[in-house]
Amino acid sequence: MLYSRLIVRHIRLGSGLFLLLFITCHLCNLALGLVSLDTMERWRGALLIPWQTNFGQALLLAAALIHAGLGLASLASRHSLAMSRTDWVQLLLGLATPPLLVNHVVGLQVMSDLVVRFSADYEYVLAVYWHYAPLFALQQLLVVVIVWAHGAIGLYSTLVLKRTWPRLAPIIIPILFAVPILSLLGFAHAGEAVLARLATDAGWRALIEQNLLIRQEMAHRLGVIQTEVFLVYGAAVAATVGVLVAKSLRRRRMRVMVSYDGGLTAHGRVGMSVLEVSRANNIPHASVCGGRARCGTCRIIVPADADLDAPAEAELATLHRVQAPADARLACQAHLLGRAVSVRRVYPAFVDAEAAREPSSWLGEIESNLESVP
Amino acid sequence: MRPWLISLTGAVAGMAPSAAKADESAFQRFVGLASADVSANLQALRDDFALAPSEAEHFGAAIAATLRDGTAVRAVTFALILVIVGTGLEWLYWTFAAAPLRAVVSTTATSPRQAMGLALRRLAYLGVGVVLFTASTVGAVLILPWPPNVDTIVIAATALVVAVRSAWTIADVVVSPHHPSLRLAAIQRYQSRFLVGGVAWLTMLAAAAMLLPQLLTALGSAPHLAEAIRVGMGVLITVSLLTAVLIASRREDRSDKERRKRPRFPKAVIACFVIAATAFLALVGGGRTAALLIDIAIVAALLGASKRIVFFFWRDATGKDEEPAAEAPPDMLPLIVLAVVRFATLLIGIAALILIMRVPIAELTTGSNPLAQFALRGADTVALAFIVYLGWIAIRFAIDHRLRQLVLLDPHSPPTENTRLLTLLPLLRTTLAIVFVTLFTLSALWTLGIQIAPLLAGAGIFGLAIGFGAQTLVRDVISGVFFLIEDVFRIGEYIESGTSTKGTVEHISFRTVALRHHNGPLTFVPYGLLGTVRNDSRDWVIDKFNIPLPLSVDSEKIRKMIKGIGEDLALDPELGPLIREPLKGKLYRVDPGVKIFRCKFMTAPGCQFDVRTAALKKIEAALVEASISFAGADPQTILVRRAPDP
Repeated sequence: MLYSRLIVRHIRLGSGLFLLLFITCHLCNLALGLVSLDTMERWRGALLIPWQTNFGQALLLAAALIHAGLGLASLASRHSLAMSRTDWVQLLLGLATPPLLVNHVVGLQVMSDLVVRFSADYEYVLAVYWHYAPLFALQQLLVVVIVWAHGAIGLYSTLVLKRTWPRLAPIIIPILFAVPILSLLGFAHAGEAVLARLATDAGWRALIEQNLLIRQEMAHRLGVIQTEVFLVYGAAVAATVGVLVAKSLRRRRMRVMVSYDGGLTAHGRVGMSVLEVSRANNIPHASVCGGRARCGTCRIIVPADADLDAPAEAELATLHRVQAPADARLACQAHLLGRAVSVRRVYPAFVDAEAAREPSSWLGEIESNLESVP
Repeated sequence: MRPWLISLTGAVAGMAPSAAKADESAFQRFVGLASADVSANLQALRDDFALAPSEAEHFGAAIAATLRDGTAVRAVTFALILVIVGTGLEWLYWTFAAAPLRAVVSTTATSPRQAMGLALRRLAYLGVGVVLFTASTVGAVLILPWPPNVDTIVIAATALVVAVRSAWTIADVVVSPHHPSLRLAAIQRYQSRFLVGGVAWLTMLAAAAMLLPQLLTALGSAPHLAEAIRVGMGVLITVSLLTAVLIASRREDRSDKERRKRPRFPKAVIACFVIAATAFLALVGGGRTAALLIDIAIVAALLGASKRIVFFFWRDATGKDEEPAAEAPPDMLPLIVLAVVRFATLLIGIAALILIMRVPIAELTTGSNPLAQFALRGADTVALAFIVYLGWIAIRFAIDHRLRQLVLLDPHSPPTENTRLLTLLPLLRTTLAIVFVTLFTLSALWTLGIQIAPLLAGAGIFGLAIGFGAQTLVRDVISGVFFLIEDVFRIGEYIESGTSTKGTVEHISFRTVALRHHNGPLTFVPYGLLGTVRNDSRDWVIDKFNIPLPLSVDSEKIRKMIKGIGEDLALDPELGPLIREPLKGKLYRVDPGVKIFRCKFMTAPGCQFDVRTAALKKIEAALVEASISFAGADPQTILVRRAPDP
């Protein structure tokens, strides 16, 4: 059970990276609109079609379900909503993605799976978005930014903890900026071309409108599918929120005091981690990874008999990696059980990812720091 | 008087000053104009609301058209690129700046002044973020090929975001909801959160009220809709402000501390009245009058709160949270800062007033309008008063500070090297006050255009007359000045003057010196009568006394004995430090039947009596021990009994 949490984390990360890879391909294809509509269409075979095979679709669907499901599960397993700002952004962007994306997926991918003669090529899609249903276009534009921001933040917070990050950063960060900007520009450029062609090429226009008619025929069924997806997703989110609310209501009176070095004290509830208590009470506490047991910067020194739950596999691995002493715990993984605890923070609140990448470079300073603490 | 009043009303009404020259009363004109303005404004308001819906419809139709022809999609695409560029670059900045900012935030400030420094650093970090966001967004706006008119909208939206973020940042830095030690104002935690949210909300409303109507007028040529929106926003702002005032006042009432104080007129009522009046004026009387009222209200509020605001930063130095008591004057710095803050507030307020009233400054300064000239001179005088006040505070506090550093003055304690300062500084303070007041009065009169030369000449003649009548007075004052300059005596010194007056100097004034005789009476001697002064309290004194001993004593032995006693005394913990040269004695004279030893020692002034007493006591004890008695003054009769005859 304990070990599986580590695996779950890897699966969530892996599924996210897989989805990000797909989105990158999709957006790169869109960016080719800067060259021409034909180039876009030509490269679709290489960039998009592999994902649209049955196998590709199954993989994507599985990845999406796993990523969303694990995300909601991890939200449900929280004990408080005391999160870093980045985590809040991640959570809200992630929650907003499925409802905004449903009509794009259902209207194009599900539609072309159901009706063989329906052709979801770029010409049709762009014509619909630019001329026939511009409100959908606005929605999809928004979702591009939302999904990309969610993916980029996730990728960054994973990679920034790696030792190779200083070398990777000059390559990855420009890509993180270039892909969405170029794809939006490509979308705009191709859209102009499509609008011009719609105005001049009547035959082509008739073709598009015929395709639209096929879509109209299926409208009811697609609507049903969409509603079902919304219902399932809504139910899942509602269940998650319900679990969260129930947990916090049940435990709202089970208050636990945490005392820190420097004479600070704070109150939390049973089940909250020490880091969450710090966050909820605005006590300066270093935490580079945001409470995922990855960086080791939130670690605290606790007395041997402290009333905290036992460390799990992920925590032990991180503690070992950063060469922490035996009485150290990760504040983000040490959950309160009921009695008051007294902890001492090891890192100053302002450490950055450097401390997680090179724990040894901080060791000397920490030693002197520990000695200077009264 | 009448033209002056008329021109005043003319100026207040914002009309040209030349209106005063007109035949009819300017006041009547002003009233007529104002009422005409009000009814015209109300009519315009009715028109705005009547025509706004149809204009909104047109505007909606125009937007729908842009959706169909791809303009809207294109605009949104580019706008999203802006979002990516702006937010992305700022995010990149924060990946570097977040750690230093956290370092600032996690510091616990020990004094409000340190908190001020930390707040400035925080403001710098946050401000650079906002500036970066603004610059990158605006840069991207300039680069991208926008559809017509869209860039105006985007710039307006960016301006809105930047305004709200700036206000939020500043409010957050000032009241610092999460870190009480970094707070720059004396407010509670719940108030601080409420305040940050309120400031952001009001800024958003104000920016929207300014930007939206302009945008509508520029793009859709919908002036009535724009005006209606402006009025609506104004109502919303008024309601928000009133709500904020009410919430704040209710919270305040609940705290026990307020309840125990004496009842005062609730500030909330005044604030509500001002807000409501401003809103009403803005609605019916045009913006200028309302802006005038806002300006005056803000300046008044700031002036009222300035003492609390400034002293907050010296909370640790002046006491916990209350303003310092009158008998223990605070440091010089807060008072100077307070004066500067008040003056600056007033100045900015007046500048804003001038801007609002659109007073033609250049015309006024060169023109010949007497009121304007008078006002300018008044401003000069105020500035002069401010500078004089600052200088006076600085000097007064420098003197007081120095005086407090010196020992507290006790006229009968032994004088130290600081007594001269203690004597002179209070005199200097009084003199400077008189000089400052005189100089300021003369300069102010001169600035106001009143000729001071005749005044000075008149004063000179008058002074001459008085001078003849008060020769002794002048003599006293001038000789006093020289006594002090030559450092003849200081407070606490024992002096004897030529007229056999003697005593300890207790008080020095311009004309007299008060001497306390050692028997108690206090003699006030005018300086002019002091004459020769013998100062008994300078540097050292030598004391001598005689010891008569019988002829039979060994002089050398006595000399050594007295020397030994002198050395003993020099080692005494109390008397030793006072002794400059130890006690010595030697045979001075041999008289019939008596040897007189003269003893001599040197001490600090005024200590000779104690030392002499101690020395005599010890000598007597030593003589008793050596079985030597003092030589009696009476002739000794020695009876020699012959042996009886055998």
